[in-house]
Amino acid sequence: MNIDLENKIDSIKSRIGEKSPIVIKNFLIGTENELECAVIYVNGITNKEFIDRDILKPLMIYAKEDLGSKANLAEYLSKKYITSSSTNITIDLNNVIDAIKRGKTVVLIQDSVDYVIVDTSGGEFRTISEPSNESAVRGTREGFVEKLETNISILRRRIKDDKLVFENITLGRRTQSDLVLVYIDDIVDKDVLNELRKRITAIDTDFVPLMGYIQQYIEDSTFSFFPQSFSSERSDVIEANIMEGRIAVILEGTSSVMTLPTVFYEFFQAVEDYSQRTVISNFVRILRMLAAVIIITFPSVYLTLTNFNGELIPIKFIVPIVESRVGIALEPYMEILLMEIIVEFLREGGLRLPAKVGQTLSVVGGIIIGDAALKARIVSPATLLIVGVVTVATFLIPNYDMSLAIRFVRFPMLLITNFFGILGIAAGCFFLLVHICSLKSMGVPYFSIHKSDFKDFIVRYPLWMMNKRPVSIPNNNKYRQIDFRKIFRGNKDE
Amino acid sequence: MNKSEYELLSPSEVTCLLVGTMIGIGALILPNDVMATAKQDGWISVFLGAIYPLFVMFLSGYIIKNYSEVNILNLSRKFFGKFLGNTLNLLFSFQFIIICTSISAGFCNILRLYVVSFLEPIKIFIIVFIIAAYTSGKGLKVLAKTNEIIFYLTICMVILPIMALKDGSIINLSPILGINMKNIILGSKETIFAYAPVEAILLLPAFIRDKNRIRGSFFRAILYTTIIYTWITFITIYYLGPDIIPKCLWAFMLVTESVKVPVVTNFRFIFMFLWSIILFKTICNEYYFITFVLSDVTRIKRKIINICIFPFLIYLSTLYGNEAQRREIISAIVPKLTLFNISFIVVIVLIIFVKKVLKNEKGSIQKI
Repeated sequence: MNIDLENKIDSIKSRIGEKSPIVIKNFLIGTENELECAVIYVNGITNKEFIDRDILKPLMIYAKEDLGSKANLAEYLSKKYITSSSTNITIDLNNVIDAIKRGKTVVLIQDSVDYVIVDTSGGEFRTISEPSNESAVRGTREGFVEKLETNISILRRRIKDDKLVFENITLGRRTQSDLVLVYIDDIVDKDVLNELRKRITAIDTDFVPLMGYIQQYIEDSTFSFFPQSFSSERSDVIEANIMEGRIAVILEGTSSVMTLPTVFYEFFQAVEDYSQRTVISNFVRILRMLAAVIIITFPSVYLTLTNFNGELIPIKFIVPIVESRVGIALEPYMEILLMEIIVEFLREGGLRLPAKVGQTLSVVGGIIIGDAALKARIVSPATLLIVGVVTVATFLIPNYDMSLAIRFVRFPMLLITNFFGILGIAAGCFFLLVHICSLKSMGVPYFSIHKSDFKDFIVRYPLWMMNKRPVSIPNNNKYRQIDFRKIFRGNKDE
Repeated sequence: MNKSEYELLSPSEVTCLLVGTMIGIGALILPNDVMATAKQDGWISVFLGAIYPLFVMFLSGYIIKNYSEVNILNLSRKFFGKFLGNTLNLLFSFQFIIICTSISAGFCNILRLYVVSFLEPIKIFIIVFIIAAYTSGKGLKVLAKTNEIIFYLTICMVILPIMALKDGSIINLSPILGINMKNIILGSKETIFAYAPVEAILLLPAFIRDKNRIRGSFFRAILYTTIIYTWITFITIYYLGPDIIPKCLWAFMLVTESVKVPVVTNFRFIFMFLWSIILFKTICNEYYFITFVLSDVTRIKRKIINICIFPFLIYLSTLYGNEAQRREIISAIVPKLTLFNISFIVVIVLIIFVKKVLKNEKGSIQKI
């Protein structure tokens, strides 16, 4: 073998790792003065069909000419013979190593300092499907997958704007995972972008396997129970967020895409809110808000009414409640806490189980344990009703992270109510309010009041009335639409 | 991203902060306070009581116009020297200390009477001041945002007793202006406690984004507060009449019972719960102002002051005793503190005025 070529291969092998599954294929090209070449790639992350069809076949079979005398041979070969649509010529060995690790194939040519990098990345990946955790009745069925290029292509297909930017960053000392920031250059606020870039590039760790890691590395308030960044597997949700001036963060190997900055109320917005009738959407959204209030306060209010302020329950209600509690040994506090913890057991257990076993768990948990607890006089039917209503209400929160946070809040609320009664609930609510007001996401307030943002807060105005992007999210382009309905409705729109 | 927007107070936040500083326990006892002298015309007294905050607005407007980047504490040190200035500043903070502790004492009394009779006062004070210290520690911007949100809650709470209109009688208000003007004006003197901590605006100029709109924000705050206070007094007199009001400690609480809620025997419970949040906010504001002044005077970090004053304020709050004693203490101390504060502000305004005149004269002599 040509010594020069051998040295190059050795240095690539040593940089990638001697025990990596590297494949090296040596071959000859040209007719009179044959030149020795080699292709190098990592097995498993490349598509061998591309290598055979676009590199080896043209070079070994069709390159029948005297190539020894050609100047800029690498460029000549990639222009004339290598049929791949994506080739790159470099002399920097670092680029070569990076490319090989990402599934690309490098062509080395005897007596040439140039390396030809051909995009042959492939390997087995999950196909695009609807995210099972975020289903929507009226929404796209296209969810993000683990392959970065696929996710980028999904977004590029959805947003064809020439100002759409994909910015690459490599994360993880050992994993060297690719991360892409996606934003629309003339909408995004540059200060927020710089802040996010600064925080992400500062991450210096061995590996970043999931989006949750990045969320925790870059957030402001580590010990807050509220999520400070929004993540979704739904492409339509991420598209809408980018359009509002947020920055999407896609990480290689995870189907969850994060958007920043985040505001509190976006966790209560669902895809259907915008695709169905305005009035219906508003009704559902109010139900959702009501559900959040019920989850946080219902067990505590029930506790304070039964434990401390029985005089406030009307006589018609108090008789059945008292009757239902006859013979129950546990105090209301312990009774509620016990049932709430059992519900959490069932929920957490159900998460890890296959769907079929999960059904068994819900039957055993929901019906058998509930019924047995009643018959054993461990809990009263009224308590069970309250816990049941709260559990059902938790399913109304559209975002999983926020749903978990709200579910968690009810425990400290219950505890403080047990000591301070209604004062405890008021103190807890006030604390939550102050806490939410104090949070920030990328320097942007997590909760702030802007008059125009009320159009998409507790209620959702008709879409044509929401001309402005949300003011809570800093942006450089205030308007997303004009009053186009005037063209056909005139000034007297409903 | 406009960073000043996230650090400094917007005009609406200034308005809500001032409204939040004024509206607290005073709103619940206002009808009782004015009824003693102004009888059925008490609501007119409350309306006229707005003259006091308007006067403060006029004076503070003049100070802020001339010194928009410094607060009254800096001006005091500048004009009276370090020792005297700091002493006056400490005296200026007394009003916040008294109002903060008296509101918490009143809050404790009303809570124990209506909803948490099982709790000892000390436990109530502990939870109230933990919340106050936590909120104060988060800074002025968070406090202002909290005030802004609770402002909307206050509006809802105040509007709800509109249902009492169908049960009350206009006869209770008649004859309108039946009391002589002197008594109505004397009645308005009783509203000072309700409007008192409005001087806090003079601590804030450096934290306000749009200095030109401070006066507008201040005026709106006074307007909203006056409307709310007048409405509360009006509806209480309309619903209960001048004979029943003096017999209840918190007359407005009886009005809230006109609201009927199906699952709860009376609305008072819900009202107390929501009004507790409003009271928390007022106590937090006062707590913040106390820490601000003390930190400025002592040059100790505000976060340390925040923790240090916590037991001291709890102790002070326990000294007020029952509601009758508390009101007696307030009516004895607050007018004196208000007199001091207003004199303090007036003197500062006069010094600024004199300095300005002297400067102008100097300038014109030099020109000649």
